Amino acid sequence: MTTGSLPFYLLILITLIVFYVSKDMKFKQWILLLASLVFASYYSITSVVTVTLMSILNFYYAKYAIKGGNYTYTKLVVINTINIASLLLLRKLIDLGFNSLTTFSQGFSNTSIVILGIGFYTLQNVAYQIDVYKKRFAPETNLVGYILANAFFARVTMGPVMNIQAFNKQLATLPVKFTEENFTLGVQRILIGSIKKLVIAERLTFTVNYLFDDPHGSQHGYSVLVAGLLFTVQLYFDFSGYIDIALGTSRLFGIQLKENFNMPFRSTSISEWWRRWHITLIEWFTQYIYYPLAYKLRHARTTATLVAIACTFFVSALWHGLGITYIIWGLCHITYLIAETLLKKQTMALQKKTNPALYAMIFTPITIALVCFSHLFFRSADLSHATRMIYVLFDFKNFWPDISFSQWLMNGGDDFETSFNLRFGVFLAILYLVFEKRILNTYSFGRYRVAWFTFLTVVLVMLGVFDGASRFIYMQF
Amino acid sequence: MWYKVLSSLIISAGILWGAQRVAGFMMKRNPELKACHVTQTPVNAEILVHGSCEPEYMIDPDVIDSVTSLKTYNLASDHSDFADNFLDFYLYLKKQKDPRYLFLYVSPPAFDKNVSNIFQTFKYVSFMDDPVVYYTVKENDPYFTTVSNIPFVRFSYYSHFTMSKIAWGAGSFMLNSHSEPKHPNGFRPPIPRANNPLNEFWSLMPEGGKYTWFDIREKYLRKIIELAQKHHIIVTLYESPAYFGNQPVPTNRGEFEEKIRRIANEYHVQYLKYDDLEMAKDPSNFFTTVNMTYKGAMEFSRIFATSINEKVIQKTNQQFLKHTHTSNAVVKQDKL
Repeated sequence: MTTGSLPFYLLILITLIVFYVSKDMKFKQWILLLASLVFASYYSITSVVTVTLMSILNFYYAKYAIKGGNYTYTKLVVINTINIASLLLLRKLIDLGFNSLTTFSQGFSNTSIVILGIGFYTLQNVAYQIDVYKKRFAPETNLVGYILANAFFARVTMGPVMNIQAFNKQLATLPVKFTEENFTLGVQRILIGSIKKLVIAERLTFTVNYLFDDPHGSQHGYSVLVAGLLFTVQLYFDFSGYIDIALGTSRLFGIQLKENFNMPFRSTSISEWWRRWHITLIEWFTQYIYYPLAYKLRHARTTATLVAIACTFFVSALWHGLGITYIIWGLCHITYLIAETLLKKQTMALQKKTNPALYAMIFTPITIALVCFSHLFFRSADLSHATRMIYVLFDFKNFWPDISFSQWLMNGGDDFETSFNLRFGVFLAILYLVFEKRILNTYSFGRYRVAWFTFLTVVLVMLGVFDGASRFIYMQF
Repeated sequence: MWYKVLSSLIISAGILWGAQRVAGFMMKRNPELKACHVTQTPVNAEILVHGSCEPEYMIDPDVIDSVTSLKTYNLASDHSDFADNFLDFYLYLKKQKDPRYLFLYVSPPAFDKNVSNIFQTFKYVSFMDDPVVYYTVKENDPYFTTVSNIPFVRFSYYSHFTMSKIAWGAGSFMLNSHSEPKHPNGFRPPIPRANNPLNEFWSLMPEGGKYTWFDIREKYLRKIIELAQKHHIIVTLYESPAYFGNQPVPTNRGEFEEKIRRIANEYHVQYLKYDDLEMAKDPSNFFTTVNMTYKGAMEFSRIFATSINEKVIQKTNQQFLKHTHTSNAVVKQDKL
């Protein structure tokens, strides 16, 4: 059972009925927790055991550490070492032996997830301990709510990463009545998320996998260029599609999760990209790594910023995986952001002088190109494959494929089926990106509109790719 | 609110149902799908060659025409298994005149559970209203059959394959409703390759591997033979040469061949094998273990045509003449 699959929706339906029949808040929380554990058990019993044990450990640790009014730094280091070691041991090191989840392709090709969402809820537990230590929040008193904050089935798989306290606050005010607003906003988000995943991302999957995983896939600079761009688009629609489904599902239960994307393809710089892409993760890294480091090194000014950027993205790369390809991906972004910081005055001056539309026309493609370049490392199976792609990309003598322009226009040198799916997928992706702002505006409209919902349903059913659409890319993290 | 939700569901279902009818109509007009082509355009062959990629890439019906003087059509399609072959054959017989001969490619790997050829549901989505197609699809792809009851999902479920085929069919219908397929006689010559990828193919083969018998394949092989015999079509099973080079042959290949022979004997049909041909020893004739290059395919087509002419067609004609002669003699004697 994956998010967005038929059994997932059946689970939602059953949970919704029981949830709204009951008037008792505690019972509602238990229902959500039970549904979440059922969902996790579909992946593995280890997932259920791990999320429960890690939650109980963190819940009681914070409670007892603060009890004597003496939550020391050593205590914080101990619990967060346990949290991070669990993540490394359970997700990475054990997987080295059993599943080889070390690189993107290997991880993506695996059909089973050993421990669902551990990367995401570990961040939440670490943040919780820091917040309690720093006395930003009092320790949680509701164990069911704590486990639910980590295991909630709508978001356990791939986030969004959220503060446990912020999530639990909403559990205290769960809705008693099934309102039109919650239904409309929830179903609309689910439909749009499903369209992003099944109509657009899935249609690009075949070509992306071929270009990255097949030895004959990327033979020319042009195909490497297409590979980088297509993967970035696929990743966006796959991941943001999941987030939409997660937000929509939560909304049906009256829970509001944090937004994770904000039109990243309109960014004019890498720093803006990171303010629009995987927002909750970057907020976490900013709050718990970047700010403390920048504060500690504040006497060094620019150096402090640069060191903080470097450390933040290095940790982010390690969070994604222990493979060298992730580290190089992180280094790419460190380089981009350092260059951006050093050239900040010049770019700001240029931005002031230039017409905003013209500035966006020049810097948006540059930003996307830089991100796509880093994704060549992020998506490659191993370093040798990534370096081969980079070599091919810059081999200008061999840049264009050996086909005529008319042939390229006709089918891009592929068979009709492949080129049709690719071009149709790209067309739909462009269409979505053009109307993205308008679509985002509909997220706040809480009344059910027959024409709009009919349109979304027809588009999803008619254009969705349903076979094999089982895995989301970020599930492996 | 529920009234509005119900309204949008009913309207969506209506639109999707209409779209399903249009998509079915368009997909059937796609001449490149053999199942669709043979239900739309008269073929009326005397000889049918059938099976998966091996006959599709290797048997040129024009060569058989020239040797036997009988109109031949290649109904085979790549990646197909016996259930596909059964449905293609069933749909062919539904619209075309019964052929006299059916030559069906059968080989030990075709019964192997791990072979990449699988039932390709998407080819039959526009024929789901036919009960034989429906039950065959249901047996081979039960989950699809369940979800295909939702309007249009039968077309969108395998959207990767069906959308392009609907588009092609629509184009074909709008430009010329009787358009011919790219390969009118069904033979799809293998695309010439700069490098012979045979070595790459070998690297995928496990050493000392074994085939695993898949019962459902046997079931559909039997169904093809039974359907043909019900239509009085003379069935011949055959296996084209395979090139193993220095690679170890799967240890139970002989056992599988024996099983095929037993099935052939049970139905009194011939099982022809061509593995002792001289051309089977030349790697330049192959691009995989079982698929030949264009040069190899043309050479094998000639050998195959001559062989079936001698071993099947002439033999049947002689038997027919002998039978007619004997019958006439009996009639004459009776008259006397």
